[in-house]
Amino acid sequence: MATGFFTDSTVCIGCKACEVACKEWNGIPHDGFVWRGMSYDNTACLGHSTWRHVKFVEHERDGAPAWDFSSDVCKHCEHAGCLDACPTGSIVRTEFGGVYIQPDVCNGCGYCVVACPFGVVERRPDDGRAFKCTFCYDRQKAGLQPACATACPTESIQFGDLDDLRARAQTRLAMLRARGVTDAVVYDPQHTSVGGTHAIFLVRGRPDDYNLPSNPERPAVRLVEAWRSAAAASLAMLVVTTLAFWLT
Amino acid sequence: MGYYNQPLLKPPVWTWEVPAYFFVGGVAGVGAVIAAVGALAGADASIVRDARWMAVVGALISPALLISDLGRPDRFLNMLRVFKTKSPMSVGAWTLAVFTPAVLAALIWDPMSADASVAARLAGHAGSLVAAATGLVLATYTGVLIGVTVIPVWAAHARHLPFHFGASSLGAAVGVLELLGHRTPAMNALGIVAAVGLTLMRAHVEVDRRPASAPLKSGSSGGMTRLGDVLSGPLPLVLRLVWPGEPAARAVAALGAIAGSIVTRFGWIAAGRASVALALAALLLLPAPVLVEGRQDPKPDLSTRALVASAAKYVADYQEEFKFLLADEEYVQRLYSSNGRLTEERHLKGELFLTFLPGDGEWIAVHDFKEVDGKPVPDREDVRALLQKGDVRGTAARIAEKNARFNIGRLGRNFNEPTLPLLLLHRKRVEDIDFDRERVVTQDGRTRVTLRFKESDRQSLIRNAITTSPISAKGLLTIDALTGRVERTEFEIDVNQTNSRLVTEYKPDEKLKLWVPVLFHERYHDARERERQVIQCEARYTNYRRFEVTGRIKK
Repeated sequence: MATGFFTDSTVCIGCKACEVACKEWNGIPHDGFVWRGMSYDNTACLGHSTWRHVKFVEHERDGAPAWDFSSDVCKHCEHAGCLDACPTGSIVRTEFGGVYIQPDVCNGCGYCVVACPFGVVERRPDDGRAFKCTFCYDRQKAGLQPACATACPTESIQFGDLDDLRARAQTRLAMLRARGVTDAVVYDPQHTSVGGTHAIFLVRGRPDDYNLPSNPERPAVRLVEAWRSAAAASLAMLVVTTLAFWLT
Repeated sequence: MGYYNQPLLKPPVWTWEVPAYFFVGGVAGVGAVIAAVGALAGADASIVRDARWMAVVGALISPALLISDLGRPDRFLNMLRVFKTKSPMSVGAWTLAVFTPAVLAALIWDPMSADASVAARLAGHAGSLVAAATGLVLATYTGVLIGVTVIPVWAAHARHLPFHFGASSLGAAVGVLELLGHRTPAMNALGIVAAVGLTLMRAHVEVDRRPASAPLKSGSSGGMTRLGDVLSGPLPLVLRLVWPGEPAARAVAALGAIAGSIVTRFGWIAAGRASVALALAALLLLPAPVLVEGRQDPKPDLSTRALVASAAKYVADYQEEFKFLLADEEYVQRLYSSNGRLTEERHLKGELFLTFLPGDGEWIAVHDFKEVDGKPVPDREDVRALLQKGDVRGTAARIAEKNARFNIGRLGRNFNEPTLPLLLLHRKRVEDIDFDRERVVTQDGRTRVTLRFKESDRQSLIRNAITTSPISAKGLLTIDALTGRVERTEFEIDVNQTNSRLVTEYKPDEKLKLWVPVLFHERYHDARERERQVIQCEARYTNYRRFEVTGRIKK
């Protein structure tokens, strides 16, 4: 069964219980005592020690200030850049459809870091390996929900069968629209090169304000053209070297 | 744009070993190609032997560089755990794993040796050919490696990078062989081909107007890639065409090609980092520059030099205008213990008197606190009257000393004034500061540029109170590109294991028609053993007005 997260930011209260539950369950180290000076959110972004991150988005709605919260997480792409890039086979797809880094295999090459279109994977400096959300693979194997979804007090984070969640997101969207919440959108990049994600979101306003890119790109879309260039460059080098020796 | 200008992507974690490997591996790869082709074409045996040695040396250094860059070097063998065509790094690791033994075989069993056994010569030929084939991959795949990522500047050049790195490796390999004494016409011809390629590719980059290519043209990464391309492109090209028989010219051309090849690889990695800082969510999906409809402002010069000059001019004018201002001040100090628990809090209310004294070139701030934690200050002096008398400096020093008792925490601090960082932009001081463009954001028709600065170790705004040794500051300045107006400063110093960070935000004031500091945020992180604590202070300044001083200013 392909499982997923549906994060409905319209009911998120910004309590960050998901961040805490994630850290507790997975034993993630603290991410520094840093005051960002940008908003009340001092976590800033997902990273090696932040696998759930509640964004505090301050924007304008109908001429008045609006404050929205949204819990971000690894998107677990259907065509995952990190999984393509991993040279050791450490990154695998689990039976639940999630993307999982096997910590006993990763050798910290850092290639997945530059292959993630969502800026999720990061190498932990004092450890040397890359880390990101495991989709609570251990909990799912034991029939439990991920820690974040379990801790969420408002059911903003919903976990379940991905197809069910997609339907639920559309129902919720229709409900909100009917109530006059016209700026609600579902973020589910199925028609991009990442081929859909296992984490979908319902947000108000522009997804860009939540650092959810409208066109996330799987790096492997350039694999053929880049290798074709490498082949052409190699051939050219071989020909000029041969000519140089032959003609002189 | 995006989420509080947080970069959407993560920057590459690779350190110097990776660009160094791009160079060493590329030169080794071309060395194997030259050795194999030279041997088959009946070239002089000495050039074949030297090219093969070059390949062997590179083949032995390359794995060491790659392994030391790993986060877990002891797990380097996991690179050969699987073979994945989807991962250029996997393909590269396997290529190197084949290349190294092949080139060693060609060195050990010299295929051109007349007195070797048939089996040995066959082994040598096989090694030589396999090394040449994998060498071609080594010289070019590093372009694929970084092109097939999400880093915008690399991705935008995925087609171009394999040619670029290949030509750069060819030029550098020819350079090494020439420096070893092989100044043959064949080498000159290969050097010309590489230089022509690199010149054309630089020209292509220069006319490339895609926003993703900006890090190749501006900032330190732009400088590096440009320098690398000039050294390995036009410079050797001219020297090789004009003075092909002149040993000195050939030597300079060779050195240029080698140096350029190294600088270019480091430049491309730096460009990747710069590219991430620029890649906000919205930028990624726009193939064309963001255009703002409506009024077309004159286009500001976005080079770091021009921005610093315009900010310095703005500050000079600003200091003229910013005289004797009074504002209401609300100041909160919070002390946190090492585990992040709030242990003490202090609220202060009063007035801030702020001015620039042109004679001294100094900012003077006097805080007249009326209320501490809701209670009136008992022995409050009549600061207004003192200031009216005109001795601004004397009053400032005296009040500052008295106010020190309101500070919570164990840290002495006397440089915490909101306008202090503006002094960095004094014309003379600017010379000693390194500025680097961090990001450019265009919103509502205005372009704001954030510059990262770092003071030199010789000259600094702040000195140690006891030893008087300089304490160099670093931080960020956000300025309006068109006017040079400083809109936000972030000033950071590290001294005695204490990190101090001061952030000032400026906003326009309707009445005064002047941008004034409205928010001043201080953070002191004391990391000394046994004294670990964090102090956070936030001051808000409102209701700015001019303060009339009748007396003269005494020194």
